[in-house]
Amino acid sequence: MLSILDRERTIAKPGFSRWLIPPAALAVHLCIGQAYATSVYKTALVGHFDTGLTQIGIIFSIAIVMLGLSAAVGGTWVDRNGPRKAMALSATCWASGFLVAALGISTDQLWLVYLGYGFIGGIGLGIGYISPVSTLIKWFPDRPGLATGMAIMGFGGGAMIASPISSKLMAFYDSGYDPTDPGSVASGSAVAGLFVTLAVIYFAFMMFGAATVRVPAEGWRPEGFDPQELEERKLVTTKSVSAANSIKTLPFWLLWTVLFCNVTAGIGILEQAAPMIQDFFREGGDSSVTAGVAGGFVGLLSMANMAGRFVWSSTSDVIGRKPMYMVYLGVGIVAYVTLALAGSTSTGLFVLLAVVILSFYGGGFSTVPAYLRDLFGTFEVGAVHGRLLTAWSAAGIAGPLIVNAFLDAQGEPGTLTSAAYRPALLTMVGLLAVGFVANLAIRPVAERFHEPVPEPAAAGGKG
Amino acid sequence: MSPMSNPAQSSPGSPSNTTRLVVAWGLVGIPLAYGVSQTLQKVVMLFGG
Repeated sequence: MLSILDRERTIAKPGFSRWLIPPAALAVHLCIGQAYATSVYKTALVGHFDTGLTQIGIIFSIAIVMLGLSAAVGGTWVDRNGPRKAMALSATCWASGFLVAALGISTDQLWLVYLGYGFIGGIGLGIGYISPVSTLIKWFPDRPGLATGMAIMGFGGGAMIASPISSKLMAFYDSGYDPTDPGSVASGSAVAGLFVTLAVIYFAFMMFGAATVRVPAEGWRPEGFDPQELEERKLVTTKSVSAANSIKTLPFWLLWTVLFCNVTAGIGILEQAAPMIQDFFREGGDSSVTAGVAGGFVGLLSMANMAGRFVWSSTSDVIGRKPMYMVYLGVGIVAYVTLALAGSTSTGLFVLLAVVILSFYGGGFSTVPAYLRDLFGTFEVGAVHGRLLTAWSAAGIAGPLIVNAFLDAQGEPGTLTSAAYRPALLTMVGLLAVGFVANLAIRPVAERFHEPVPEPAAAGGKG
Repeated sequence: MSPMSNPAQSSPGSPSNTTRLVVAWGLVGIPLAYGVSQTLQKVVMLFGG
């Protein structure tokens, strides 16, 4: 029965529309994007386990580390077994992770939450994140940036859906909880109920994606698309590089550095968004920015992050991947310097700069699979992408560490002024400069890493 | 080289494909639109709404 998940069973029949693939990919990414909505129940878990924010924060940290590890280790398996099996595995891990975590909450065992949401769920995150990427690139060889942008945009949008729904579900399971009151905290059993509900909904939704997804038949290409056009572009290859060989190449590690620098810089703002806008406009101890306005700012950044994933990745199809990253990193440097030196002069300027930076942060994520396709070909692009995502895990640790280390030395966030953020922001400028140089240094992969081209078939072979 | 090797050529105009496309995009588009609208309500606060 499980054979319906096999790659051979997912080959598209004539007449299949490739525009069904983006919603299949979105069905997975919208679910796993919940990982960025953990703040909704963080306080409830702190109260339930009678522990600190750091201990609860470890749940998310384990999940992100497992995302990178499972994507890196499981990438080749995903490429060989096809998107349907990978999506089904991701759905199973993601949903069972919620169930195990719910059991941990119900039995007061925090380690079960680490194991469930962090470890098992983290595997679901990593496999789910990369599962549709190579399929999308194969269906959209003419517009890979647009295709991956649509899917990875879902990862940004997932939190926007999960956040309000989680608040409403916790209020449903705990009548004493009022999500509109910042002082109200949901009970542990409400979070357990939420987790079980999310497990059921996410499993069904992700399996819809698995059922919908197809791989193109051998030799398929979109109408009007000529692969010869790709060969005319300097940094776009029609050759194949295996995942194992990719990590032996300089372009892979240069791109790893680019992604690491771009993500680290973005996380610096994302993590501190609400206190940061209040601190930038603080005079005499009081901020002119209220908590409600700061919440609106965080919402706007989420929108910028999501929109950037689609808009900039699609733009890269037109201007090329390398120039696109020159924009992310070069304009990013200008934006960060302006933010550090003049961000406190006007709320409008501050918001505009933060929106630009966050849109580049999102764009950096969604453009990278197409950049990999350009450099390494489509052969094992999912597995190469999985290996590259370790840069995300590393940035997830480095970004907050850098910002927190600088801010801790200055005082408590929420009581600081704009000057306190300057050292952290200027450090990010340095990181972006490193990324800019790394991107400039990217060259086509050396021929010795290309997979051997099969001998041409005898005349009269299949057309 | 002609694109004759297109066994799975897209034909988005067929009725069954159109239905599948509407259902699939609706299933992901409606929740996403809900999430965006909820976020926009917060963003309005930023502009003094």
